[in-house]
Amino acid sequence: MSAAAPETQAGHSRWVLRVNDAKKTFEDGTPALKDVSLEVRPGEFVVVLGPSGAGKTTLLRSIIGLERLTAGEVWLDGARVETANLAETRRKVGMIFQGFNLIDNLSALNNVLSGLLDTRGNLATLFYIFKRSDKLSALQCLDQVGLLDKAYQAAGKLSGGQRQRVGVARALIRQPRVLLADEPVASLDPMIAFTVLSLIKEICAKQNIAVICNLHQVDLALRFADRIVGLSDGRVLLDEKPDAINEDYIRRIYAGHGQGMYFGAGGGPADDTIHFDTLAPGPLP
Amino acid sequence: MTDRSIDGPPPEFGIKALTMVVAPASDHAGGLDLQGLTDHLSREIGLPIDLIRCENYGEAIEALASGAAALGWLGPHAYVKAARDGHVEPFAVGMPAGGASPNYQSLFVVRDDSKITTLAEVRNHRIAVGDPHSTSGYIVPRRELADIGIRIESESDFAEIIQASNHDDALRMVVDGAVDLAPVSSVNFDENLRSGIIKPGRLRVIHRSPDIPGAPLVYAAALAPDLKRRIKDTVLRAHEHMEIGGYGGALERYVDPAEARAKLLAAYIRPQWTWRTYLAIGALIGVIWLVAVDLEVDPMALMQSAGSYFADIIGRMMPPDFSDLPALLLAMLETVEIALLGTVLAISLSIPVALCAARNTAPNYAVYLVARVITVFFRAIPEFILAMILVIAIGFGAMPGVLALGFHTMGFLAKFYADAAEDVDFGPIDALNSMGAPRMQVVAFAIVPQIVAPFIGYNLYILDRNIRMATMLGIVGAGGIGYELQAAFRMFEYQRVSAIIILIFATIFVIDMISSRIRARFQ
Ligand SMILES: Nc1ncnc2c1ncn2[C@@H]1O[C@H](COP(=O)(O)OP(=O)(O)OP(=O)(O)O)[C@@H](O)[C@H]1O
Ligand SMILES: [Mg+2]
Repeated sequence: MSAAAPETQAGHSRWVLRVNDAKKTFEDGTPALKDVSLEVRPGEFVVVLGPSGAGKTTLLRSIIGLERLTAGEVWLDGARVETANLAETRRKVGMIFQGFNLIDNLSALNNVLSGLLDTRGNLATLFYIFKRSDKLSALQCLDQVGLLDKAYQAAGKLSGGQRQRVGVARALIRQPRVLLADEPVASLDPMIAFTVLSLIKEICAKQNIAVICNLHQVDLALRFADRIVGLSDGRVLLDEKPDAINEDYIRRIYAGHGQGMYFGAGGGPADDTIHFDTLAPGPLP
Repeated sequence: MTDRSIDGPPPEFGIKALTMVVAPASDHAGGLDLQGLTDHLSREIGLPIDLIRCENYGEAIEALASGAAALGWLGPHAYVKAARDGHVEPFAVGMPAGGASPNYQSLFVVRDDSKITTLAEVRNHRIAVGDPHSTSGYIVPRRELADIGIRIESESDFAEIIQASNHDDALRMVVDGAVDLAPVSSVNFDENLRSGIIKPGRLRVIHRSPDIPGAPLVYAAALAPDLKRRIKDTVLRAHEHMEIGGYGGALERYVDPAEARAKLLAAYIRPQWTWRTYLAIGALIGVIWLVAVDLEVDPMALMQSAGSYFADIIGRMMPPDFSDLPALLLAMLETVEIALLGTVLAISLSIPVALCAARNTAPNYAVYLVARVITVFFRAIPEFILAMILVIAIGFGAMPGVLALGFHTMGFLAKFYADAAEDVDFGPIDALNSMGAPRMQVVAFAIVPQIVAPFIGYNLYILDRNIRMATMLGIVGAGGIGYELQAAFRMFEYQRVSAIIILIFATIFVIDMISSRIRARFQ
């Protein structure tokens, strides 16, 4: 497989995913990614931190070709991602969504099985009929996320945390090389968020799956990341191990976004935007 | 015991004896029988094996961790804990006789004459619990109780909490009346019934937990690899030589943990469609077939003779006769006008009716009922009939057509809108209600914006269908192109008929193009 990618530099196999000088300007002229380069090793858990609008979602979508980069390239598992091999690329990727994106009326098991559909496009699966071996691996994935006894429950009737665990199982059944998670715990309570991230981290480390996870919670990022990438205004501001990250770094990532004092150094949020209210306080005439 | 290392001298791996520790899941051989297996193993590997039944789970874990014991059976929870810490490795899982799955459950049992019938009622009763490491005697029941807000370790949630030394002990306490209930392993419960220790009907199960995977036999991680392999091979093949036993009594055989895991998962496989589904599909096909037979619909015959029929008809209709185009266009225009006016009438009538016919916008139930009846009534009468009645009442012309279309499709639209209004997201409604917005403003702000898209869609669909229906209405004398069409048919002017059909098609096509443009705007 590596021989098919002659342009790659020596030692590329250390990276399962590589983003080179990615730029993305949307049709309406919004520059979402200005210059992003990133390398992820197998089994590594990379957290992307950054204020709203930094381009985190755009980055993940570009990796699997849901957005076309304006410039730059993405390498996945030794092959350059391009329109011609999108299907192959996606086969190696599992995705977890903030809103879970499960099919509520289907059972947890069938939701997990839907992760296999790209390679099971036959008549039987149109009627939700899967091979026994596929069902077994789906049950195994549900077992890994601790939901075996909910296998036949409709996904819509599960709690938020359970639903995201089904989302994780659906990504895992693909046996991906890379797992992309866009704010997977944004709508979960702190305890459940912790559990879900622990599960993702534990399973992916065991199966050598690389994870890129967009997060908004600095504390969770510091707790789970092997590496933290700070994205701000479409650029990589920092790319460090979590123990190298201190308050200054966080302040830089979130500069001008009113989140600089996340570490609670006292006082209100460091908000340096000028509101008209500051000019003329009090009720309007 | 420290000489149990990999590089120890002979004979046989440098060890003179092995110890096997067994967690206290049962206190009699019928419930947890490993003696036969260890005797066999001892003969095969040429080492005496000491079988020790521990007082509690902690002791068993400790013995395996410290190297004092080489083999063990710990139950699921203690096994997971010891394996996490790297002290033990699983090598065999017992398969129950009769091909059952190695999964089991934690059961909450009460005496048959007890008043307790559900888990929620166990509060303030006397309970016998298992060892804190016992999976089905403590860990799982604790979770099951926690789910309904009862804490198994809390003196204030129970009248008395007694620690049982094993599942058999706990069962005895329930039978003897020392406690009111006890969570126990289904394996021990079944075994006690089977062996007659507990009489059938004496105890009642009030709650059953989800499945718990059967626990494996383990060896200490530090054991020499060669010895591990021989132990595993011997145990996995033991059933070829003897009747084997384990947790729950007689076992069919021991299998590799990976295989056991596959079996465990396989116990969860259910068919996607049950026989009921297939039966329903079969019945449906049967009914359709019978109906076709009853109506003397013969698809084969139709297909065979269709060619000649159509050739004849089409031959007579060709070429279309557009000689009278201006008159036809005028008639077509009249039809479109009738449809347009009818649709406008339908929309204006349907909005107030719909608001009364949706449960969340109706002022009260009586109005709701009346509105629903109105929508059903006008949908039920075909516009064809309405138009005929109106033609008799008010005479020929466009007027009966407009009224017939307007009232009939009002029934449709009102139903569509009412259903759409009932399906809206209630979040914004709650938000506005919480801020005290007046009723009609709630409708205008929280419901109308949510249903504009389907509203536009339905209206355009109704316009489209009204143009087609207006064509038909001409036939009963309500004006427009339908009248021309009927006249052409009457005079056997089939070429003119085809011209009119083409004209209608072109009109509908243009309307369709316009409406998809409009629809796209409002998506
Ligand atoms: N389809 C699109 N068309 C135009 N602009 C877009 C599109 N998608 C995103 N953008 C813009 O690109 C920028 C980056 O958006 P992106 O969704 O990647 O941010 P994000 O870091 O994921 O933010 P958040 O943390 O709020 O999810 C934003 O300015 C956004 O408005
Ligand atoms: Mg985003």
